[in-house]
Amino acid sequence: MHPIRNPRRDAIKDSFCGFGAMALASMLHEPTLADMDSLTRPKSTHLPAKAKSVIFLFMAGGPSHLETFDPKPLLNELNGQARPSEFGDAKYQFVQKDAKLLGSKRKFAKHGQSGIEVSDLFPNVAKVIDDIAVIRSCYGDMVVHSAAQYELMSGRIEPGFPSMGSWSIYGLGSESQSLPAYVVLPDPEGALEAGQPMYGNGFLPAAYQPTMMRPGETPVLNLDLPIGVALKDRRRTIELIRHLNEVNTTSQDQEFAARIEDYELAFKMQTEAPKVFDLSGETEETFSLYGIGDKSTDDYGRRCLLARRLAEQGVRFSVVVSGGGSGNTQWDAHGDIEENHIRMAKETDKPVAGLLIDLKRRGLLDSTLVLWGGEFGRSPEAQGGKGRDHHNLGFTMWMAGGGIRGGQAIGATDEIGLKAIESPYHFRDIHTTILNQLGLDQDRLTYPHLGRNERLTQLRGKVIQQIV
Amino acid sequence: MKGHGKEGIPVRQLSLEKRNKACCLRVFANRVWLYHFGRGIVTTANDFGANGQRPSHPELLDHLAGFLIQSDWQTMALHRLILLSNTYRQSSEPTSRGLADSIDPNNSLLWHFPMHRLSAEEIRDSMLVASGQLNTEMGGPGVILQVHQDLVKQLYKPSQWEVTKSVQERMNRSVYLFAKRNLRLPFMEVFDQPAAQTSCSSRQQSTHAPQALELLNGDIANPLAASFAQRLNREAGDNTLAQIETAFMLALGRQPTDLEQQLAASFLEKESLNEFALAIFNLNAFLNVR
Repeated sequence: MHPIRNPRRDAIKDSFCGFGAMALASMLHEPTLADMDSLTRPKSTHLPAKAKSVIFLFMAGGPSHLETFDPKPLLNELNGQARPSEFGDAKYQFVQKDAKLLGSKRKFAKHGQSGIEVSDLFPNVAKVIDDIAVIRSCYGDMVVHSAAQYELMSGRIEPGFPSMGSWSIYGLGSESQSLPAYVVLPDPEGALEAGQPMYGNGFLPAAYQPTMMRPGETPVLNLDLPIGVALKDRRRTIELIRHLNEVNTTSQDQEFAARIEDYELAFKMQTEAPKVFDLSGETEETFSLYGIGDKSTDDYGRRCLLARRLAEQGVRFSVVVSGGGSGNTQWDAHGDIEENHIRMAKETDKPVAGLLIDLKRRGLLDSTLVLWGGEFGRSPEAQGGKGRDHHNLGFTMWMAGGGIRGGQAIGATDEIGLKAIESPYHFRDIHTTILNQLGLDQDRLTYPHLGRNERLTQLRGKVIQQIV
Repeated sequence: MKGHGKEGIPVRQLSLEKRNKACCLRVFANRVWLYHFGRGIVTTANDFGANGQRPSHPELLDHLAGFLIQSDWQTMALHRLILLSNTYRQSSEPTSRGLADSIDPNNSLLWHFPMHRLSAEEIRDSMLVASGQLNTEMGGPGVILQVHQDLVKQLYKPSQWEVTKSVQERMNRSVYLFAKRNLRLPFMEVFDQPAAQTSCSSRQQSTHAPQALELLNGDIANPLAASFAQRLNREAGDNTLAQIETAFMLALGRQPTDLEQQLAASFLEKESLNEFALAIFNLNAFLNVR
């Protein structure tokens, strides 16, 4: 049988004295049953790891860099004027060419020993700024929510590719015996445009899918016994399953052996996982550190505290989402940047700072990488007078812990915050840096899919050397 | 692949000699084979080009492709041919391994049946059949099952998840289940149903604890286990041994061994028939083709 010949591929195969073909053959490695057997066991890393786990504080909808970490005095001076042509062009979702620049009403001040400027939206985060590396020169490729969210999470602008969380646990395996390795704590306000696929495992095996925590009493699906079944009965059912399986299992059946073990693990998860969700063992002081009990910060505070407890128990990747449902209950401040951001910042400032302080005093910050940011920033131009549109050409994200050198602000946007001009960093650079801190190499963390070895970064990213 | 050859003759009428051009025939036959063996004759089912794997049995693949032409593209005939073959009917546990293990450890040449787990949809369908709940009606609109309200709330428009009213239709085969990109059924997701965004030529088969949790505590397995238990009562009466035999025959297609009979009977002395029925759904023998 002769497959259809593709001259272009032939050219590659025949070039380099046939070494092209060797490369192709090595790309076609298919995972074997034995690989599958050890899907979630801890694995050795490619590089020395600095971080064991990642907490992504996902500010969904796109927080403004201009109101938070990237002060622009010139923008304030130019308030109400058209954008001077020397800054170049930008494409927005809603704002038209005749839009006028909008100055920021926020006050910026230098904080900490590092003297990094932070706006008055984040009085608590400002106090821990010396632990934070602010990246003021982030950019992405898309200016609409769903595509930008996919790119932020998976490095691709369309759904179907594994998220950075799934890639991470594919590379690292699971450290916890009774908890899922990758969890998402969504905002109870509701879903985001890109939906659950942005957190998903894409074409990676289902073992690498995220566990979506649900608000309320039962954060993980299927941990509760069906109504009317007691734990001791279920214990006996699991024993029956094991006995009946064992009488039909030979030493050759690795897969079967794994499945028998899984029932033990499932039972363990059922009895032990709920403990991590029970916050009653935490002190009053911890609650107030996270703003738990205070109406505006209670929800995000609880979820940040949960993220710390999960990291403590060996969960590798968690996403704590701020924003959900309609645009204005996200950071998506089209109508009124002041009203939206004052509210959203209030809900998250204390919990985020509390998380950093708590991780640090427990000695966890060194091994826990915290990432803060959204799918893009916001436009220097006004939308409808008081709002700001989406903006992907220059915005701010930050990292702390996990071997990141805090107390520095790197990169820069231009003088009105339109474009990242100094050391611009794409999402792929953020991804590469996260993998690097976890001890993973973007080129070696690959998975065969539709004839090629895919990786998290579509184009090769670079490690942000200034902060690692 | 265009529908017509150089002379304007439809592909299916081309002489066998020209079948080399009819790649689509091989691709199709390979997929049908893949569904039965868990692995294609060409393992890269979406890629028959230079970047794909070579077929393990090229003559066989050609034979199946030719058979498709001869049987006028009757898929059923191809299924029958494959399922009645000696290769398909081999045991996954060969009587003698000999050198085969060292020569072909991955069983690429199919010297024994490649044991594999049922797909997510097949597991649900098998539970529907065993419990006697399967609705064999064909066609109709996509069926939306009840899922936890919190999952529906995570939809951008929760109102889109309108659960199918007819109880009977909710027992349809899984192929009729409504597939929504942004809300996959947890049951399907956990058993490796691929995300619906990109093409998937062959599924991953993973084994992990949340699968056990889904089958033990989930809201698909439990109601069907209850129906299965009711059926056992109905068909075998109050006799424990008859119930066990009926359960094995309905779910596994064989009689229990003495040891299995014993284990099950001592379980049923203390525990409910519902839990026993659920245990049957969790057996490797139920979840795998071997």
